[in-house]
Amino acid sequence: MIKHTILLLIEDSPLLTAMYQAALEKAGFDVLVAHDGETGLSIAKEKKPSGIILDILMPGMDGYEVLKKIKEDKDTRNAKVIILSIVAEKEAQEKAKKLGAADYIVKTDLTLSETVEKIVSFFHGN
Amino acid sequence: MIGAYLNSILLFSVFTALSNFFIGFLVLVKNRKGATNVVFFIFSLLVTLWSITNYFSLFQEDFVNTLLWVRIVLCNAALMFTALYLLTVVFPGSDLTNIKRPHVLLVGFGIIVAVVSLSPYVFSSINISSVNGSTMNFQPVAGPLLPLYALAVLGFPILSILTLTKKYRKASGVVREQFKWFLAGVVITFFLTSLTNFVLVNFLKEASFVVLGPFFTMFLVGSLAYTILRHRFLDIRIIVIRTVAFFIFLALLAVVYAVILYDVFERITGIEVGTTLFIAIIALTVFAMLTFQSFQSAIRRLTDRFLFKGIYDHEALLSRLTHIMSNNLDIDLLTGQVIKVLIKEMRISKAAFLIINRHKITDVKGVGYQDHKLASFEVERIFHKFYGYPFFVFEDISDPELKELFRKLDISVLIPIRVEGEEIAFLALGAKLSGEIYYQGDVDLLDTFASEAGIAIQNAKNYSELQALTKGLEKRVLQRTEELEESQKKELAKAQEVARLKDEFVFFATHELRTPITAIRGFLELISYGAERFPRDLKNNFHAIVQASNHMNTLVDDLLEIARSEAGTLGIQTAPVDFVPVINGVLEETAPLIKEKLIKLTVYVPKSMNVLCDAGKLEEVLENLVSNAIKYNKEGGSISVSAFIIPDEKRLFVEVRDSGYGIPKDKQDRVFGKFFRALTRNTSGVIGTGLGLFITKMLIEKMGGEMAFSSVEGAGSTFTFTLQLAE
Repeated sequence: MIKHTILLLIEDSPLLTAMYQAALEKAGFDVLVAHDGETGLSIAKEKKPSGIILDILMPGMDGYEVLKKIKEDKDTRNAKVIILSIVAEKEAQEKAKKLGAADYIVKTDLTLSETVEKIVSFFHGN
Repeated sequence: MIGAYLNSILLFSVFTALSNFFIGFLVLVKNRKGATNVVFFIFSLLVTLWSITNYFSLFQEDFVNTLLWVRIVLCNAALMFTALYLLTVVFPGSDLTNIKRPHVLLVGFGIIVAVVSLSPYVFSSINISSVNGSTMNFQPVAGPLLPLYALAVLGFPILSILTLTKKYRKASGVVREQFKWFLAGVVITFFLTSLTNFVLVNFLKEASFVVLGPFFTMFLVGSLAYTILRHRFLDIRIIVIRTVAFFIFLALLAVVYAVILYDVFERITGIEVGTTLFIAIIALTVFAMLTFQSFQSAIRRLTDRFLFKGIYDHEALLSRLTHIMSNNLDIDLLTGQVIKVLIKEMRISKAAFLIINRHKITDVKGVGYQDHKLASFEVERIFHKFYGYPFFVFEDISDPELKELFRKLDISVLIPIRVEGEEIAFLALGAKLSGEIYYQGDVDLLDTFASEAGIAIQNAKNYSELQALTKGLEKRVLQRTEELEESQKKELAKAQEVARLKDEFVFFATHELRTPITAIRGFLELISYGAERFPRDLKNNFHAIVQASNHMNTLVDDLLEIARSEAGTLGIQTAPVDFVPVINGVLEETAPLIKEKLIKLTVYVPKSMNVLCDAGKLEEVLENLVSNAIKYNKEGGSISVSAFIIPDEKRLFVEVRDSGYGIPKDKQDRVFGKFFRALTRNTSGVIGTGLGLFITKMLIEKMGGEMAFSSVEGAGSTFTFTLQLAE
């Protein structure tokens, strides 16, 4: 079942990370949190999560850069990356997909539960 | 009697010969290079010769000579007919190179026959039957090739007649007339001459009529003359008339002169001048008188060239110079051409224009002079002394310094050219090639020229100044335009940057706003899982908060959209989009709400319709209109959504009609304004940002459409929009 799939959440807003963490843990995931790209990458290398929920708009390294690095590093490239951002533009989504993102969720399109549902079905629905 | 007869024959022969030759000669003179002219001349020459040789053949004294001359006549005749044939082939063209092969071969054949006729193969001999005084009657004895000769001599005229007839048929107008006469002349002449010179001679063995042969060529000459004068045949009418007058006069003179000579000579010497000598004298006299004039002018021209003398026509030269000056605005061309003409016509060694600007020699344009020598300070200084003088002729100069300068520079005449009293140029001329001095006539001409030249040169100068100015102006305009474009580009780039920054700001601002909003909504959602267990008050308050946060969320989205649209950075992509799935999607999504309020929905959207729009924005528009129709509707009311094509305008017309509470009249003008709410007693609870319609209209307009509405308070509202159909 949804046994202890490890997710890494990289998102700069602590409000949102608290929110998503609570919701995802409720759904049965183990959630690790990083508030910037660098930390995220080092945690990813160390803990090797199965999935990474990645925001785009972050200070310092933006989501695209992080995504690129994830895919370059042999330790982390196997993780499935889902972009979770408020940026809705098609170009942004395409860019992410090109860089290797597995999926793209626009934060503001879905409610929290819808978002969580999507992530759940992604990791355990296929 | 025989003598008179013979003399008249002689005269006629001479007259015929001369006339034929005369016409042929004039035609040749008209155009030495035209094929028709040349061949015509050759033909007429041969006719002339035929008259002569025919005559001679009849008046020989012995057998051998007679035979010889008869053969010569045959040859002549053959060549004559060949020439006639060639003429009919070539006429009226001027190009000898286009003659086709068969014609060339025939001409060759004719020439060969002519040559052969000199041999014994055509006329092997003649039988002299009687001698009448100085004439011989003879019959020819046919040689083996006589048939061949007969073929040529009969064949060529026939072919000529045929060719002429063909061309006559094809021709039209005056040319047709010309051909008619030419043809008639040929036919008659041929018929008659072949009768006397061939038929009678060969078949009836009667040679005495041969003499009349040349006489018949008068028909040809006569008809040609007629058509020349009447129809401008070969375009020589004027020459003919003029020359005829000249010749008649000359002939009369010649005859008078010859008769006197004859008489005087006989009286003085007692020697009788024979007929032959008499003819020869007349011919020589005419020849001498004709050629004297041209001979004389030819010699004069020759020696002129040698001695460089040559009186030029003053008026012609002046007119030519004037022509050059009035036709040229370019100062180089002007001076160059004038100098060229002066040097040639006046036969001088050198000439140059010195262009003066404010007493300084600014330019020298000439031939034969070393320009830099003329343009020196020395020259300027000395000339300066003599400003105001009309002209300078070397021989007449008294001032030693000036004279020395002229000698050094090899100037014979110096003519100042003035405009309004001020010198603008000098014309310096070197010595005449013949060594002569410049006569008064020459100087007068140059003086007249100088006064005209002043204006022309001034104009040319002004023109070149104008050109330089114009070029300078053009250059500056170009420069300015470039500068302007540059600065415009910069402005545009700046404006774009500003828009981008504005957009960035808006974007980040809304992003910052969104984060807490998303968090609030998210946590509210988490809380909501346990909301059933809340006490009533808490539940109500909770729901209120949820609603408020949703409202805030929508507001932020709307504001972002508006800000983007106003900054021009709203990314709307127009492409062909099928309208039907979009509206169906929207209706599906809003179905629960419709059901909840028990609203009756009718949809009239026929088939698929492609419109030019942004799919996402179209969805937004429809969502807004439909959700408004639901929100402001009464319980159990109705909504109808219809779409149809306006054929003439190629647009899609969409209508969303509700039976809701409508919009009060006094608020209707603000419907599409920002933060408009159609709040009435009945709709005070409706949730909305007031930006929906504003954004909807904005989006429709950005996609090239138009939006409108109508509403009756209490009865309902109808919102419509149009979009362009995709091709």
